[in-house]
Amino acid sequence: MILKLSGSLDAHTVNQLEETLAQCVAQGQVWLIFDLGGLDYVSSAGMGLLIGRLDEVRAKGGDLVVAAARPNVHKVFQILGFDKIFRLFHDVEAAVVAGGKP
Amino acid sequence: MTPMVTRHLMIPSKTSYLSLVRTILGDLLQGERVDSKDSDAIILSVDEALSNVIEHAHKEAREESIGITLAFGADSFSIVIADRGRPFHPSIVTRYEVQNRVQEKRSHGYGLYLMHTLMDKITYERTKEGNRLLMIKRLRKNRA
Repeated sequence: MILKLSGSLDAHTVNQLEETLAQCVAQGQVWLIFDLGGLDYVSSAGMGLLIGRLDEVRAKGGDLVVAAARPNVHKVFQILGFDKIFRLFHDVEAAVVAGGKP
Repeated sequence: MTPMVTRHLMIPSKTSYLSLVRTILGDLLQGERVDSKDSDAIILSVDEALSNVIEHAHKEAREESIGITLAFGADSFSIVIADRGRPFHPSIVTRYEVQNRVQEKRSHGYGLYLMHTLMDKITYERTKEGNRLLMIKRLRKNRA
């Protein structure tokens, strides 16, 4: 499944995504590609949500990968060292080709 | 000598106002010709600090307000965030601690690390009015 995010992911908007993500995983969707091409801002709340689900989807044989992060969003992944935990791709196509099954 | 430019803002202690603060702050930083990387760092740090106030200091006081005072100097930006909530000390989170959190896939505890990494100085004071957080960022040289 491809989850396309746009706008801002902060302590306010994270709740909405949390529900969506929980529903996806509950329905057995464990191959998740987050298309961040339209996301212009992320704070620690959003980052925490993404990493908090990672073990669960991987334990079920899937993965949660990130594609098309803008430079300022990518920088947050780097500062926190999330770039060493998540598979990051330049675009969604690259994520699909590399096996981040949609 | 460049005169100090100061601005004051008072916002309700609600996460729905974070976006508005980021927009106002972004406009002010752009107006002061602050480098975009410095601007991104400041906006994220302020957002994290305000989120902490709303979610921790004001956890049981949703009708409270948060005072924001920011100042642009010749080569620095400073911001004071004041609230009347419970004590919340913005402890330094080390690189080692954050690496452990990442390895354990913990979903919380990254905001303070971002603030301390992105800002040059952070001081916290518990006053009789409440919490007072000061953050300072040295600015790059391309300002007029």
